[in-house]
Amino acid sequence: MWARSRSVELYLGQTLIGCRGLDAAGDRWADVADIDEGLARLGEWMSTSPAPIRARVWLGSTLSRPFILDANCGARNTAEARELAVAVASDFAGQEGGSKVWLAPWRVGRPTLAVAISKSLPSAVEAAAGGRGTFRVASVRPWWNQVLDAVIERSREQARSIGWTLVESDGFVHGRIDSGVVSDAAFEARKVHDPDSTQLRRRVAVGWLEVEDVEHFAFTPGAAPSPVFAIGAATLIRINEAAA
Amino acid sequence: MKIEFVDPVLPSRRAWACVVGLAALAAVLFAAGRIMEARVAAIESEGRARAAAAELAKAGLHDEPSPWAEDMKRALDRAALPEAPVLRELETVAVTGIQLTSIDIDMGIHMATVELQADNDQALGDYLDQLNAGMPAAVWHVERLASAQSIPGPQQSLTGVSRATVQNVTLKRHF
Repeated sequence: MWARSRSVELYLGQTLIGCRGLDAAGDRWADVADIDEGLARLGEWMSTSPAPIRARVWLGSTLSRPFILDANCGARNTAEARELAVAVASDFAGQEGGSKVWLAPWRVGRPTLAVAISKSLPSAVEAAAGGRGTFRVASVRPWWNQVLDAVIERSREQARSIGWTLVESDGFVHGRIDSGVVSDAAFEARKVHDPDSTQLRRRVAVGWLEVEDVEHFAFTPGAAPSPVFAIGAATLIRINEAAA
Repeated sequence: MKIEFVDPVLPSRRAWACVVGLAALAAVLFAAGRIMEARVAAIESEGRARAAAAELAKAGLHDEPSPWAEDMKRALDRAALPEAPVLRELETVAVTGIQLTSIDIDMGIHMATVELQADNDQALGDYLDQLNAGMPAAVWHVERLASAQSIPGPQQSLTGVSRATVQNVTLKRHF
């Protein structure tokens, strides 16, 4: 049955959902009030497909929050580092009902990137979209992972320290890469008084006095398809130049 | 750096069982194929041999003796050593008063000719009896008997007549 399944890209944010590859009509985007409504809309979209769906789910930053396990966290090995990450995930990620944590390869004395999502999110997506018979989640990844990869590659090539930010519809992710190594990453919820996160970008950039380059990105839902960004796109904003 | 929350799907035990089963089936089919090939090759080889024999028979090659057939026969005959029993009989039999003077083996007619001197008829009779012992019929025959010289002392012949001469005897045996 899955041999003739359709591959679909899904974007799932707190207040925005998107879909690519469901039909010939093109990308679909919709603003939603919360995650429950978003899942319901996704379910409606998926029900229109006559073929089973194999979906790659890209999560917005609110639903997949990065944090850093400090170099001095006290872990002695990977297992302890993972236990610590799981223990502190709820503090950083604010997930209720338990978190599922992804941890980068742990090294002694070095900060380690960790990402937390709600433990029930993949099954909730699957259930909302019709269940295992007609819908299968093949992948669940943060959308900002693509921006992070792009910055890591550039930092490694140029052997530079780069600070970066990404503004999404419902959240804000920022971090720092030193010669290709993630040394800092964090999430900030979107502020009502700062809808486009301009003030937040500037505030974060103030703390990067020692970085050699700063790159600000903004998520663009309706952008043209790109080989790097499966759904949506990231627009590079030279905020420092604009401010100057 | 790939951040992924869906664990990679590993093949289940059933999938592994299917793979192993398919591999075993492939091995069995391969072996069966090889066996069938060998059988077909054997049948074809046998057929070719029969066809070649039929061709030879059709050409009449078996009916006409080849030029070297007689030589081959003789060589095979000599190789079979048919004179061996004859020589063995002569070696194993010894009678006082009998002295062999010559042994001639004619392979052409398969005839053994033995020249001997017998001191008296009794010795000759014993010698013949021992040579023919165990045979269904007498195979050694006296071909020629001739007196050669006188010897001193009385002698008793087979017929009871006293003889005082050495006899030259020729024995023959067909083998």
